[in-house]
Parts: sequence; structure tokens; C-alpha cells
Amino acid sequence: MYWVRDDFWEVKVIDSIDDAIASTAPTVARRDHELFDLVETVVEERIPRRRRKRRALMLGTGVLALLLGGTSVALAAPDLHWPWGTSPDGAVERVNPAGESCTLAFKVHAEGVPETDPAVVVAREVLSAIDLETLEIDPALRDENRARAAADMERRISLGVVKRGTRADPDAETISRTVAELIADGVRAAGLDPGHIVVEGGMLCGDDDGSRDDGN
Amino acid sequence: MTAAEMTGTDRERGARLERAVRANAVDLLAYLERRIDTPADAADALGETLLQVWRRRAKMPADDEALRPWLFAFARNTLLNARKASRRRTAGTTALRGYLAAAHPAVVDHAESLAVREAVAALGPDLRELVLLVHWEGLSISDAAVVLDIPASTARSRYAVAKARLRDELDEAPQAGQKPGGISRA
Repeated sequence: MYWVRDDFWEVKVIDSIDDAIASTAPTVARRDHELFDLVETVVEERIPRRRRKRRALMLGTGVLALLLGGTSVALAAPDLHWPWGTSPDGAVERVNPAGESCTLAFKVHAEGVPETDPAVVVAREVLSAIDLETLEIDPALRDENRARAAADMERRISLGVVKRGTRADPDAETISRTVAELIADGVRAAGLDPGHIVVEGGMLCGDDDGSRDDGN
Repeated sequence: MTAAEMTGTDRERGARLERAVRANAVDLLAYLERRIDTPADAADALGETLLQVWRRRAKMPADDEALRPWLFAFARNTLLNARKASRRRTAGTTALRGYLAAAHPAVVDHAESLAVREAVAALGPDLRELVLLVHWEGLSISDAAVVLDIPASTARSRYAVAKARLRDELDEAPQAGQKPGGISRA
């Protein structure tokens, strides 16, 4: 453990020399929707393949953030954006209702505590131990999410936000919520508080053979 | 070669490269932001990095795990040849420049960070960059060796030397009357 003294002789405790070095990293611009979109534009300019279009089927954003505090997982603010530039902690391949091959990926984040917090570490361990290929889904939760998605789609069509024929993928949310619940249970079973953990789920869909995507 | 002229092998290679780039682009940008005095210039450097990556895709490693340090090596080379970047500005990099210029936080160097930073700077360029790749970018020592184009064994020994020097530098117990701004182990 290291003490770091500032100009006023106040002492800040840093756990290790590794953390001390990491703490000197210059700040980078905030990672938000706009930055991710701009980076994506640069990637598309510089990697001139025929484009597959990133689909945004899940909740209309392709990103889901689930807070593990409380008695059940809760959907976080919709402005959270899963950083595609970092490796997921777990991922599964699946086919969405439009027949596209998709990667549904999950990442554990700390909210208000260090990434090295024991609960966060356990959460990642639980996630990595989940067999996403054989994950069992509660039929009642699945049906509930499908019904809600259908109603939401009708509402969006009536508002002219999406065209009729656009497909939602409510099962992706069901899988995500199931994963988040399992992680929360695992953290609690370890005697730790999952209240500072966010599980983000992101999905990327589309043919991966370089063929042009015609959009929704 | 245009996308339409690609062979099947080119297409597979391009798809694999695209996945790797998309998975690492934001981290590459962070690497560049942290090392360029004017953060907005990181946009041009990212564009140049990806341009070079695309041109050299035939030589990308077969092992997926080796792709990340391979990409970082291009970013590092871009910094070493920084003048090229601004000459190849595109609409995308220009827009990203504008974002970075507006959104980048003002640099606040806290005294405690300065003390550690000075110790790291005193390591000299070879050791310093190795340490920063590991602790700022989160690369393994082996991956950092790829970025720096040195053998992994060399990187490991250099890293051990660097950590020992940092411990020596930062391990001084606080003394009465000592000038503030240091770091001490509890």
C-alpha cells in the first residue's frame, strides 16, 4: 500500500504501485454514443469492405444495461453504450427473428466502486462460468418480454418511428436479464453486495460474408 | 483493390480484420489520445493507423489473440511517423477531430500523479513505454513486447528492472521536513 502526498501534505492511499502508475494515465475524451459513432465512421472509411449494417434490434438501441441492486435487476438509463472497442466478458452466437447471425455479448462494469472490487471480480467469474450456449430461460419471462416487445413495436409503428415489418428481438433481452439475475445471485451467494455492478449486453447482427446488407 | 474485386480469401481476411479493428478501435484511440499533445490529432492518427493496418492485412497474424498487439504496433508506428497523419484527413477523421477538440477534458495534473509520473518518466523511453503499455493500455508484457518489437524475454526482464526502480523511487518513508509531492509506502 502506498501513500501519495500532495502539495498540502494530504495523504491519498493507493493500493499498489501498479494502481499508482495506472492513476497517472492522461484522461481521454468521454466515451459516449457520439464518439463511438464517429470512431465507427473512421473504421468504415479506412477498412473499405462492403458494409454489413449494424442492426439495432434490441430495445431499439442494441444495448441493454442492467443494474443488479435491489431485489431484481433493473434496466439502467438508456444512454449507456456498450463499448464495442473492449472485449466482452462473455458472448454467445444466436440467430435473431430476422434470420441473421448475431453475437450477443456481455460485460460487467463497476458503478461507483473500483473495477477490482471483490463483488465485481466475483461477478466476472460468475459470468465466465455461465454456459451461455445452454442457458435455460424462464418461459414466463420469455412470453412476458415478447408480449411487451410486440406492444411496443405497434406503438412505434403508429408513431412512425419504425416501418411495419421491422422485427424486434425480445429474446435477447430475456437472455440478458437471465444472465444478469444469475450474476446477481452468484454475487449474493458469495456474501457480497451486487448493488454496484452493471451488466451491459450488446448485440451485433448481420451476415459476415462481406455481402451488402439491405437494411431492415 | 476494391471490395468488389476481393477474392474469397481476401474477403475472409478483411472480415477478420474488420472484427479485430472494431473490437480495438476505441482502445487504439485512447492509446493515441494519451500520447499526443493535441488530443484532436489522435483522430488523424487513428485514421492513418487503420489505413496502414488495411494495407498490411496480408501480414496479419493468424492467431486471433495476437491481433490486438499487432494493431497497437501500427498505432505506435503512426506516432513515430506523425507527420503523415494530417495529410490524409477524411470526413470521418475531421468529424472525430472536432469531437475530441470539444470534448477533451482539461488536463489537471494532481501533485500525487505528478510524483508518480516523474518517477515513470525517469525510467527512460524504453522502460517507460513498456510500463505504460502494461499499466495504461492494459496489455500483457508479451503483447507489449510485440508492440515494441522486442523479444518477450527482453520485455519481461526490462519490466522487472522498471518495477524495481519505481519501487526504489517511490518507497521512501515520509521524513519530517521533506518536500511535499512524494509517494511513500504504508
